[in-house]
Amino acid sequence: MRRSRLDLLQRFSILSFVSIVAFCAGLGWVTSRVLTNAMLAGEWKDTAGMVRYQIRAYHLEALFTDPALRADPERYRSSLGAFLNVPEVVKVKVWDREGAVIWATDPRIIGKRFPDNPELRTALAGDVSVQLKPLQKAEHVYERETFVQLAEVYVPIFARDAPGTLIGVLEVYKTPYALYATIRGARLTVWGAVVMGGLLLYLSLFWIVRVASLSQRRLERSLEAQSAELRHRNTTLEFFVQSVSHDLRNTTLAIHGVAGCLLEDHGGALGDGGLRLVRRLHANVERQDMLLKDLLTLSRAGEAMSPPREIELAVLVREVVAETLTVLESGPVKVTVPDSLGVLVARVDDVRAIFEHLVANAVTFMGDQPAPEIEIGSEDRGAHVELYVRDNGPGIDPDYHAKIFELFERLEATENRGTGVGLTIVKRIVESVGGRVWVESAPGQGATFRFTVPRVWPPAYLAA
Amino acid sequence: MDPRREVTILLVEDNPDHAELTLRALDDDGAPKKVFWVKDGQEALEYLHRRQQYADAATSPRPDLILLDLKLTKIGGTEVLNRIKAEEGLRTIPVVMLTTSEREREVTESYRAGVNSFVTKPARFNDFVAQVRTIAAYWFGTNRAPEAW
Repeated sequence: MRRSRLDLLQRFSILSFVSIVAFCAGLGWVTSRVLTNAMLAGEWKDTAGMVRYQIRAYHLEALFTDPALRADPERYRSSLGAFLNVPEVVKVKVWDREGAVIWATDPRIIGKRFPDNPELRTALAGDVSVQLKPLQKAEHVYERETFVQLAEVYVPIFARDAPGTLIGVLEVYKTPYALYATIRGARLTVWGAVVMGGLLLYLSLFWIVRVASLSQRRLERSLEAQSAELRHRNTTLEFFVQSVSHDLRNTTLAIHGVAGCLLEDHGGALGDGGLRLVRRLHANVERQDMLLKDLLTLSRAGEAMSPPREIELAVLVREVVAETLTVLESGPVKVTVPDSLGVLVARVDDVRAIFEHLVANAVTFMGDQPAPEIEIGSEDRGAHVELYVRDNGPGIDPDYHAKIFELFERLEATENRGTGVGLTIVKRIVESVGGRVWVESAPGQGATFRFTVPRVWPPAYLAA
Repeated sequence: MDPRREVTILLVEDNPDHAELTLRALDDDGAPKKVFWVKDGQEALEYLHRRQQYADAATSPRPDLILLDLKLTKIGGTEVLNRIKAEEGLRTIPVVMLTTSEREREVTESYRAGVNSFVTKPARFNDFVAQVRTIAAYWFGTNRAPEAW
């Protein structure tokens, strides 16, 4: 029990650690990605805005539209100088609206087309597009470590007097150091927050579970101590009952024996009155002995004395019925037992005791029924079997149906058997194997005592 | 064993009334026998080992049967049984355990210790008398005991 609880805390620690780490990693990754993309998108938008503002401010539309200018590279160089002075801009390239290079730093590519450039195509369709390229040259060795990339920003340029009419594309090469520094900072902040949050979450959960586990352990310990105490008391009580019963039975035999000797040796001198008194003495002592025997049986009803074994119920029941009727010295009673009551894997002594007490109970409380009858039968209840003992006696008022199973409860004063223990023994045995016992009866209609027991009894009793 | 030979029974019983009832039952059955009654476990062992007042073999003969009560003062019935069955010279004497207890455990323990018979005393006088006589009739009539004692 303790082992599994420790496992519970350990399992929780591991499981919550793994799930919190996974959750935080996912959260950090998504957040930093969203943040990075948003910052990059802002940067490209700003770049495009800056480019278009310069074009408009310096009236540079002619660079795209006037074919006469194309023969004069110097004019481009001086006109585009404003862009090259913008921080982080490395170089620029001018494309016409057909996708041909109008001007570039390298004069060899002027007039050429590069149709497999997707970013250019996007820009020619009217949208700003960006291609990020890792820095691969030797001089960028330190910059590569801080993951700075070269960004080629393609900015579509529209006619001044006809917005929406594309006149060409200006490509700006940027090395966005400042932006990447900001991104790095933001990522660090995000990951720091995520790690701290996850740690806090884990620690508080762990603390809560630990407190709960400790209090559970305390409860279990006190429960264990209590049940040990209870077991000890039970054993003591049982020992006490056994010892007292033994000593009392010793005395019972002595009283009965001495009275027997009196009867044998001095019977003649006693006279009729004296003989009657000695017989009453005997009857009372015998009754007391039955009570002691029943109490002993009851005190043992929680002990599994022997392992369960296979019992042919009908055979055993017939045997018990015959014995019980003999012991009770009852008059003629018609008892019906079916040919088969099924097979039970149970403790013989206990099954015997159940039927002995139910049959004795039926016979003893038959009332003045002139033709007493007892019927025993069984009904299938799956893994359980329901057995019943039915009589045609006076019946029992429903008010007393629960009461009769209590110790020493009898519904009528009777001179013969009826110690008030029998039904309690039945209940104790039946319930200790997980069964149930009850009575169905009404005044004048006889009584049917029913009980269920498992077809296969547990090797040890459920509640000793 | 010659059925006419006088037999010796050692009765170990701490309850004087039970002892009297037993003696009475054994007296009445007509067979020749001597019954020696000792009232606790220690005295039983003294008798068997011929110590104290039992030193004389003529007045304290070796018993042919021991009727042993389970609950005894000083030394308990089970302990007396253990010592008898552990001793080479005594272990062939049949021991019948007599008790009012019906505990299964005590029956098992007694048989483990080598008891020859375990009998629960009935509460009724007549039943008890009949039982004692049955025991005597069995051990000295039906049963065959070893000769070498």
